[in-house]
Amino acid sequence: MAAVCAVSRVLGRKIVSSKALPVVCQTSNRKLHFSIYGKRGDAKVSDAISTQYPVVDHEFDAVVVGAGGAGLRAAFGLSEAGFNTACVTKLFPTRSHTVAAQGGINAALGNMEEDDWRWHFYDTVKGSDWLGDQDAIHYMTEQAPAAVVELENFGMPFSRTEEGRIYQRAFGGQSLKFGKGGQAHRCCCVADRTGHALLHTLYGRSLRYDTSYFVEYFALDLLMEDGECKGVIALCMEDGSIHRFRAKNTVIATGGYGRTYFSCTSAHTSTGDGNAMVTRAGLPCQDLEFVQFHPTGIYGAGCLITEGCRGEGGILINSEGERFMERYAPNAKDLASRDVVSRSMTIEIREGRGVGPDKDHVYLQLHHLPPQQLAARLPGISETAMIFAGVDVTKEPIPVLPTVHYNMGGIPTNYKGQVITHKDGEDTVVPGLYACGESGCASVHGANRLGANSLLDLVVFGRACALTIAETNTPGEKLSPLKPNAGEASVANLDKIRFANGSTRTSEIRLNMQKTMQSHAAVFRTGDILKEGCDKMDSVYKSLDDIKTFDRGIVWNTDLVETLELQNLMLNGVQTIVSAEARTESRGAHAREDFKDRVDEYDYSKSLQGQVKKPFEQHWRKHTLSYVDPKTGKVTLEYRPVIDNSLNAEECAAIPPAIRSY
Amino acid sequence: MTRASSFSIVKTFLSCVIFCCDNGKAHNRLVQHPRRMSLLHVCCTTVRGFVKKGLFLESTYTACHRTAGYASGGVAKDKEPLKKAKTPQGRFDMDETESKSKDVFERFPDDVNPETKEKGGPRGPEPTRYGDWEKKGRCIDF
Repeated sequence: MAAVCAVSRVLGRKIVSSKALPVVCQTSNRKLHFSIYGKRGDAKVSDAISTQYPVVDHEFDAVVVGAGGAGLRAAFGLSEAGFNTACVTKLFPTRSHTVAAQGGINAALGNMEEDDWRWHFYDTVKGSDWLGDQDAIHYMTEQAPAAVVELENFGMPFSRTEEGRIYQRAFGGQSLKFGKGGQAHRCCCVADRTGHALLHTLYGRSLRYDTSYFVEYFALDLLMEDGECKGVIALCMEDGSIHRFRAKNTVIATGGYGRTYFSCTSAHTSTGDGNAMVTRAGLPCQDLEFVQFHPTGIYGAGCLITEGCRGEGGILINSEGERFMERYAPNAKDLASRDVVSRSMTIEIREGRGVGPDKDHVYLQLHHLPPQQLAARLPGISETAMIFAGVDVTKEPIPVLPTVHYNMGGIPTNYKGQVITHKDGEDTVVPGLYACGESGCASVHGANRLGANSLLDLVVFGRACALTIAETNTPGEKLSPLKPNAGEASVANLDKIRFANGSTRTSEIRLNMQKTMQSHAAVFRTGDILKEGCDKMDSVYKSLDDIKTFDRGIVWNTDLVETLELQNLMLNGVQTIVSAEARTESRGAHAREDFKDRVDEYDYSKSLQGQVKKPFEQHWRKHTLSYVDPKTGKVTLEYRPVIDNSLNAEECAAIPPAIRSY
Repeated sequence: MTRASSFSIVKTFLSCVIFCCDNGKAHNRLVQHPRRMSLLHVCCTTVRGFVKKGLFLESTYTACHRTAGYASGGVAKDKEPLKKAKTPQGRFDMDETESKSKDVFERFPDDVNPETKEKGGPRGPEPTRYGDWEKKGRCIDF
């Protein structure tokens, strides 16, 4: 194998150096990829961990794990500042899930009417149901106009008004004058492919700098020593070699974990790898119980059907052909708010009136509407229904069920992007570790994310991580020593899975977990359903010990990688369901039937005068921090207070909590 | 360098690779799958190596296909194929408007939305008219 590689490189060099090359071909100095016995001078092969798995050691100033919107922004922000940066990603950058974000990006540019970022700040704090950290939200909304202008300067082709300014439309619960001035127009977009354009713009921009991309390298674990993060260990999927990336700064931007649920809009690669790496390092994850659902996602396909279908007269029916929304919301019926509709659908399914062979979804019926009206008001829906559901929308109903769309929770960070833990009542920074994007929880979205805010979150906090690292470090600093056998446990785990010979396949365990999460930790949450779910998830976690893999190879072993991803998903899943079971209130996306109200330190629906402040243990306006023992799957929970003050009280007053109503 | 000579270099290289593989110099541990797979893998890595050195191989292959296409182009035109070809050969035969009519959304003139005067915006009806971001009946963001 090595000899062939050598032969190919020799021949390759011969052809490239020939004079009659077409002009378009240039030998580039960019380090896009490298081979284990190849060009990179500072990569040393060692067998310090294991003689069977040669480990290649790299040294960088900073490592970014993940190459979506946040990861790319952090990576080239660091390269721009002069740091020797590596970007380790399991997917090619333009294949990350950011490419599927087709909505817009919010910023208070003031192009359509007079606007102020403080009003955007108010809307985001209110949307988060006062669980968002106001200093992080202040940072994000204040930086938003500059971030959008910066993207536009990088070449992102936003849509324009007649005067040539960026066109902004009304979207995502945005208002003027702290909620009193009517609808605000803040959402900038690129036709209908904002996320795609963003990712391609950032990737193109990042190629100007000298970032080293390690594409299709699956990050296994963080290298932690004495509570400090000293790098990442990763598996090269292409040739099965193990790589240790030693760096003083590690940025995690690995995205969400939608694949824990049976029905989600996320790609198959959204497996919460970053959250799991942090959990295995003994650090907490924050607010994982807050998962954003949408009521009508197509069964099996995972793409969402717009609420406009119900707005135009579409109805939801159960197995008995009954329009069940009339029972749950007699006035609004199918036009009730999203969470009411999701909960009603889930109750119908739980009570046995679901449709299909597994009775696990309901139908959205549109064929009672005149086809011309459907085609005029909702163009393209017949195409969507045919492609994704395989039904003719003018004759058959569409199978739908509540679907996961976004994870508000993640790795706890401060507003600068540094990962924090909570010790002795204080937030302490974990040296050398940063997180941004959907995997980080700054927390700007709190209990509920507003539309078009997540793309903003990516670019602002990706840049924030890069700026924080640039402020506190200098390029070319000497790395602190690392134990020669660091990462041994990860390689041992890899070896164990590669030769696993139990009785259940990876796909079966994954389906069990997904079905359990969908029926117990979805939209409809009550104490006993969650408790039952926790026990079931515990047994599914234990069944991981009995896993069977089939591919014993090391080159492009997708069975191995899927099993590693399943381990990561499992850690995210158990934390989600146990945190949800513990939180006895309803806030934002976490809605419980048995505890329908929000439990804050004061009762904000009445006047505050004469009220006694509840102690920290008795109210729920706090962040959940969850730890897992990876061997047993046992989850321990701690809590940390919400940050209620903005970065600068004179510039932007903090918003005191109030009842959230729209 | 002409297309023909570059193609012959590629051919000789590939035969070299096949020769090396057949010598069975692979490590035992690493290559546990049949030889055909390893050849494919080797070809892939080496091809990728070439691509990294400047898209050379890709341009060679497309160049070769184009040559092959033009050679038989005259014959296909006379026979009048039932399906309109999408290859370069059939590209100039296809009517531009035919494929456009399949698109649900027509492009606005000059890409400017007549009601909102938005340039470069989403095609079709306003995506946020139902409160969420709608496209072709799918909800994209909410």
